[in-house]
Amino acid sequence: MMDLQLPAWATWVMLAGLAVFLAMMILFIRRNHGMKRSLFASPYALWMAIFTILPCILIGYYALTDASGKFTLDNFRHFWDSNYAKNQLYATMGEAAAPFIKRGTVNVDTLIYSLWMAFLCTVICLVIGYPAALFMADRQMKLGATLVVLFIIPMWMNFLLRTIAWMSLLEDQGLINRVLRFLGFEGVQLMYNSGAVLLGMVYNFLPFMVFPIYNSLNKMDPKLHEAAQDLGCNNWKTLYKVTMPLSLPGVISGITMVFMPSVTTFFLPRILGGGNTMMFGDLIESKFLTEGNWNVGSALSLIMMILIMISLGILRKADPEGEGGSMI
Amino acid sequence: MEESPRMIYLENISKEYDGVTVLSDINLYIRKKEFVTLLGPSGCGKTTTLRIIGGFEYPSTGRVTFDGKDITSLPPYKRRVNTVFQKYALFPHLNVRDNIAFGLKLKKMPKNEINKRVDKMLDLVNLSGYGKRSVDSLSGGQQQRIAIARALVNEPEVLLLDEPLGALDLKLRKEMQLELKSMQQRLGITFLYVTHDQEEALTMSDNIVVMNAGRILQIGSPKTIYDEPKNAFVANFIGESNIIRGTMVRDELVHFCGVDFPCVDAGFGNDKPVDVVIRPEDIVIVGEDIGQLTGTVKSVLFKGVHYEMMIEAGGFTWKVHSTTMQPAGSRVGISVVPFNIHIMHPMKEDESK
Repeated sequence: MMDLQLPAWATWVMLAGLAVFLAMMILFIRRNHGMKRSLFASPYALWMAIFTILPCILIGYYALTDASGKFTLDNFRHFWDSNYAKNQLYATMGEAAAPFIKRGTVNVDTLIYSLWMAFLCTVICLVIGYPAALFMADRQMKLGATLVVLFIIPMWMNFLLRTIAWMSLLEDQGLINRVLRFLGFEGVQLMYNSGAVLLGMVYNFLPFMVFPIYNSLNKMDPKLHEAAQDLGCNNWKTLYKVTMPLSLPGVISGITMVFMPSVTTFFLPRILGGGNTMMFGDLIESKFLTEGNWNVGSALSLIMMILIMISLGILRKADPEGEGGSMI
Repeated sequence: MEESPRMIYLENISKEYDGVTVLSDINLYIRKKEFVTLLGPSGCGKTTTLRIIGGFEYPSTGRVTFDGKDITSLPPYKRRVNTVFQKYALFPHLNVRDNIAFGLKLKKMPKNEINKRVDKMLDLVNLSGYGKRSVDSLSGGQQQRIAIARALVNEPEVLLLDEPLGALDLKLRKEMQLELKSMQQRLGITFLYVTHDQEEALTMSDNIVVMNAGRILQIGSPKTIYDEPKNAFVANFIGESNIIRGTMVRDELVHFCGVDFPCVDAGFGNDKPVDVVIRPEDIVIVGEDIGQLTGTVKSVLFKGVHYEMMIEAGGFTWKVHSTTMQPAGSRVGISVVPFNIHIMHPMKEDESK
């Protein structure tokens, strides 16, 4: 047995939770009626409260207070102008300091850059992923099942390992460059730029685009294709008039599942981008861990969350039946 | 029925899937404006035959011609046939009107012409006013009509129907049978209909093609198929029947159950083994002493229109339909008029599979 080093109180809390859960299961089995259903959800509600709702409240609290705990909107001003604190100081120094008051745009720029990268990543995933899903769902293709497995296997590996594996390919002394040099070409700088980051993002998020689309294609009644052909569609028109519209819920779900994590990507840019590119996730991380400024960090997180909620809302609108939304 | 020109020919069609033969050497022609039914148990190859004509499957050998042109390998969208699918296969992302207009829009027909035709079709299937509805909101019977309208609006020369009434309840099915038949007669379109329901086939068809195990067993009008089944399988599949092994003594005399029976069939040779078919409603119950065979009533079932009695006589249990009831256990005589005794060649083993 592994030696679990847990504080005594945590063990007791867990045992108590288990006891409550078991007691309720027994009650549920013994008398199916009369008891409020919602009671059974309470362990999960408790979990959500501690690990989802409480952190959100904390982020909101930190975002709206300063270091001394007083209410302030300065954290958001920091987002808009990264030189805010310095500029406040200059402002008190009168006319002479005016030329030095410049807005620091790094936060906003990073956000825009992140959104742009996420957009590119989503588009590329869609362009690569849709045909892949089509192949996988094609029942006449024996290759389809193999392709499904090939897409799943990399997901068994840790995200970090997968990314680091790319490093050994792309590095200056990496496999690709060595092959190029062996063939007599010049080595190419593949790492430490936006392209490498984008490649890493697409590689990591592609399955999240492929599988929802694959699911929606797989669910489709193959007779619908025959019906379309029967009514005069050739293969292209069948794809365009029947298959694509019917796979839209899968596409929207795929876009959601790629875009959301893409915007918040962090760490990956540091490995493949080598610090030359920074995305919003890295920015938030550095506020918390490097600068130790929880208040500004929280404000940035809040802005990120609001952006994500807005885009979720837009995607929900496009897929009112909620087929895509149910995947998240 | 007047002879209209032949339109579709299937010549020596065979089909194999992974070494399993599903159709072997099918030869069949279909006339213009005819209502032809492919009838047989599930797995007999009737749907495969239909799909070969529709272009969804290609035969392993043989060819299909349409008005003299070889269409064996033509894709479905280039054929002048339309299909009504078993589970309708309506497009769930389109409303009723757009479903029906689907084929016409592909033909780049002007908008007002499309609207006119769709309205006419909705009228024809008694669903005018349903155009804006989503197909999921319709009942099975309504979806069925939309599927028919979607196919018919393209004015195909042949309409293929793959067990289109299979999912409907009995009453609706009977209604739709009549409706389909009258639609076919009004529009003058060839219908090729697939079903496993013998009653449906008898009600609607001009000609029935009875199939089993990938072969055609008999082609003929409903009356021929019922009255003159070619072998025991057809006799059994179409309606109920008593089938007895017998011997043809000579022309117009057959021997079974230890008795010689006069009949009207000839040409089987002398002392040859044959199968004898007698329909349950053709057996007459008479007094014990005047019947051709004598026996005991084993059981009686009330079936509404008639009684079904199992009568053991001459070493065989006869199924007899009669409007008058003989109580179980009573001794009766049975007799059959020569005209109602139908003689068939005995079935080869592989046909009965």
